[in-house]
Amino acid sequence: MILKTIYFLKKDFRLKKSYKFAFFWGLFSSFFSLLIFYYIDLLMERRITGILAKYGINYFNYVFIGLIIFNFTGAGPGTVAQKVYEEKYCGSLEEILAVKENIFPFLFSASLYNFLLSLAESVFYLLSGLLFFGVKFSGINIISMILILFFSFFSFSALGIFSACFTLLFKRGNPLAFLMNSAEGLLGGAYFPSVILPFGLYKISYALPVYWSIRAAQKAFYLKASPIDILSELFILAIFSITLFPLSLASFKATVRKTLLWGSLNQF
Amino acid sequence: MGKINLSGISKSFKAPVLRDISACFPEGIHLISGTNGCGKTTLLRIISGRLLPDTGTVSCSPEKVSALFTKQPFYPQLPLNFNIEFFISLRGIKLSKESLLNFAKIASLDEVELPKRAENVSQGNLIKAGLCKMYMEDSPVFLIDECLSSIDSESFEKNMGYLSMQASKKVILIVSHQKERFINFTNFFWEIREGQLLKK
Repeated sequence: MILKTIYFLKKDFRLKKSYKFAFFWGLFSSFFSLLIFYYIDLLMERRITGILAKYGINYFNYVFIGLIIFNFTGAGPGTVAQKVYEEKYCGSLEEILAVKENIFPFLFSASLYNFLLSLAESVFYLLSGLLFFGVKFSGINIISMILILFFSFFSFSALGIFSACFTLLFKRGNPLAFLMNSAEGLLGGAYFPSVILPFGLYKISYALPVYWSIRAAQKAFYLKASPIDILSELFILAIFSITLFPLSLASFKATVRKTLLWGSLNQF
Repeated sequence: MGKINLSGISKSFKAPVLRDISACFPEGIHLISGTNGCGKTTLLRIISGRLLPDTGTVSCSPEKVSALFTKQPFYPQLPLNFNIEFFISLRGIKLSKESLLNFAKIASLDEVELPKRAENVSQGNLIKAGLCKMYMEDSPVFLIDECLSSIDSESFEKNMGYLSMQASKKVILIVSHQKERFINFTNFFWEIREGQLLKK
């Protein structure tokens, strides 16, 4: 297991290394988006508006945390489907299934590099915020943030694994990828607090783990909220994790069996 | 020692491809021939564990099966040597440079090809890399789907020579249309006709 995980990491690192420009371009794009939001905030004279007053922050500070969470969940666990497709294309998924290996360590190994990368990107965001955009870290509660990321990881991995099931079954056309990339951007509260949405849409955002992650992270980052203070958000994220994660693994196992029956593992 | 038993294998893709196939493959080189689309690759994929039959069972442990199909899957951006190293690691085998060079030689894969990215290597050399990987896995069952036809005659003879040496202790199933090319190396001839596997 350890040998395989190391080889997956080595392989993914070498693959990424062969696209150095893309890596640096990704960092530049992240920095660029921060810059855009910084100037939007400047346009609004860096005011602390009514809705954000409860956090005591301006728009840039709000979106800064939204982007970090959105990136962490989207670039890490959210890319499980893309990873599974890549591994299917290059034959390792088939090889793992052929030798009757347990599929779950494969999912873990194949996703680990992207998870580490998303953590590194989050650190890049944090450093950029600290060094170039004047974001203050004095109000952060580290333990709360770790707990939020922990539960977010399982909730979003579950969505990523469900998404991978769609990819395996239908190859193209993935409604969950849309949900994770677009709908969450609108409803999840990454770019603006969901409370400003029409009532019906706002209520839908309750069904998205990202809404609870961002809501909790804003409190933990700017209000020094302890785990007790964000207990309701953590509890909901835990419920998402406990229900969705095992369900996603069971679905993946069933999907793999289906693809083995259909013979579609070598079809794209 | 390997031995494959098939019992009541059937498979349909809308229309039936394999019908209630039961057979026993002892150690040796087996050549399976048949017309295009008759189900040769389907049978090999079932034996290799890459496809589940609709009915029937295969009694050989799939972890002890190494297979080489015409579409050799490799990571195109990565060098051949790393690809081989990665894929054998999935079976828990750690590569030593010495054994890689040794098996590359047996598979007629020139040493200079090993550091090249898979996308920059010819189809023939990709097949040889696949053979090299398969030899390194050293499973008791080798399945080879049509790919030996893509390599040059000299390499073909060399690889078949190696496979013949292994035939006493391994079950080697080769799928090919080019029966004549294999005639001197083959111990058992099979044909798939109308979904049935017939011993010739």
